[in-house]
Amino acid sequence: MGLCLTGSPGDVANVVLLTQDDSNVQYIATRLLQDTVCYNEIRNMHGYTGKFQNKEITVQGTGVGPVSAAMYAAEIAGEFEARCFVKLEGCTAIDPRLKPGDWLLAQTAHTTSRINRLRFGGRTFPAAADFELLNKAWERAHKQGQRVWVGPVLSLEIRDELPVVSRFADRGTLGLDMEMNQVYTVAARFGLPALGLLCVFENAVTEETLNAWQREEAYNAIARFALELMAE
Amino acid sequence: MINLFGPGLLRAPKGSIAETVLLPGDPLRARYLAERYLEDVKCYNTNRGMYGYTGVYKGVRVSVQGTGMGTSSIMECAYELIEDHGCRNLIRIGTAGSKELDVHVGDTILSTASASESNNTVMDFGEYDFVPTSDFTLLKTAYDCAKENGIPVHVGVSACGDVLYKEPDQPQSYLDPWKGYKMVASEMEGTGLLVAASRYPQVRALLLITCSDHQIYKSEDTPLAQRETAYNNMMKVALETAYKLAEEGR
Repeated sequence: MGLCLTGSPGDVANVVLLTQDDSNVQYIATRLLQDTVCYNEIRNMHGYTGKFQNKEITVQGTGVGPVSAAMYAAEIAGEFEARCFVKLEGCTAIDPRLKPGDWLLAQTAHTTSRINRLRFGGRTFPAAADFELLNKAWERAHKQGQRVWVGPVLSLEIRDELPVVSRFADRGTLGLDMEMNQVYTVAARFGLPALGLLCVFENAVTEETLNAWQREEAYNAIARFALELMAE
Repeated sequence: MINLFGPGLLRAPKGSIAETVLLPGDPLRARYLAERYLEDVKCYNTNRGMYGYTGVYKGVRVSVQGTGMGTSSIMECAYELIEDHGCRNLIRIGTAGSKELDVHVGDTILSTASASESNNTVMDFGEYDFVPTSDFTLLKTAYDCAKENGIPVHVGVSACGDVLYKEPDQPQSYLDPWKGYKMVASEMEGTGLLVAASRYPQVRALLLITCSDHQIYKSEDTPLAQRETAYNNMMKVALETAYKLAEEGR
């Protein structure tokens, strides 16, 4: 058994929603899932498994940053029955075309972290979403009339790196997060499909932003969308 | 201003190259594709034997240009196509090896992103990981075209390396750097094209590949002479993609 999670392999569903903030885990578990059971309370990073339209779904917190996310992702993939990851988060857009409320499907994730360089002998690993899953999500969102963008995000490690963000923005990067690169890398290590669905909370260039209430609504919308997508 | 290649790798008049260019590594594959699939074909470049052709496919103007092998060669070619000739959609149509059990020789492959082991992002990104990414519009268009034409396609991330011949007594981490991680194909130009294209917001690039060698299924390897011609599925997907991009204004 690992360091971060308690429970038996069968306590976790094949479909795992991952999200940074335990408050969002609570929200999904209590408001969106039924017959929810908590399998983990270690470090207050809860994990719950419940049902959405009769489909078993797990929601697990990852904490902030590549280190924490890699640990939770590796444990849930290695020790439990996880078979697919969907990472849900609000994000900051760095391409001026993206408006608050738009969705961003992270096709790939750059990173400032050294983790993969060490893992791969100085090489850059192509951390990427599973295309079939991404395509399915895109088509469904598009059909709903939701503005959705697809492209690379930058998974930052620390706020000190914000000054280098423009270098990535100049080369087509659409938004910022902190965990996508490692979630995709760990998924690849275990041969699992993964998809990052981000909702734009603010745009760093245009300075447009959603207020706290709007952010909650926006997160709810992507969570609901992800559940409906995976319950198909 | 230093120009490494004199008048250029490509010596072609302005306006002779289409906005959408297919990029095989082998100039003889470029010639094969042009002669077999395009109408009103004109050869616009013979410099260095790196043939380039422009023709028409189903009413759409498209070019096909040999790039040579390695990221250096394809990047120089890409920069000239973009800066000197205004090219916008760059679709690599290359050969690659694979060792994935579900991939066989002759299979068509789309790469969403390419691994990197060279220095082509060091100047701008230092130690940070910039992941060379295929353009989604091109990727999805190619994927849909493959489906519509009944051509099965594998989609995943590919490895891009600088060294083909490695000494067998090297450490495993050098011989097989991506062990444990699925790389749908392994070639030597993809990262170069995607990194070069990423410098220009108006340019979109895609990696389309045919498996020509397999590390496990050894008996399937394609003899050298057949490589020019054995990749018709990939060429069809590339051309249909070029057609759909123009027809639907994507």
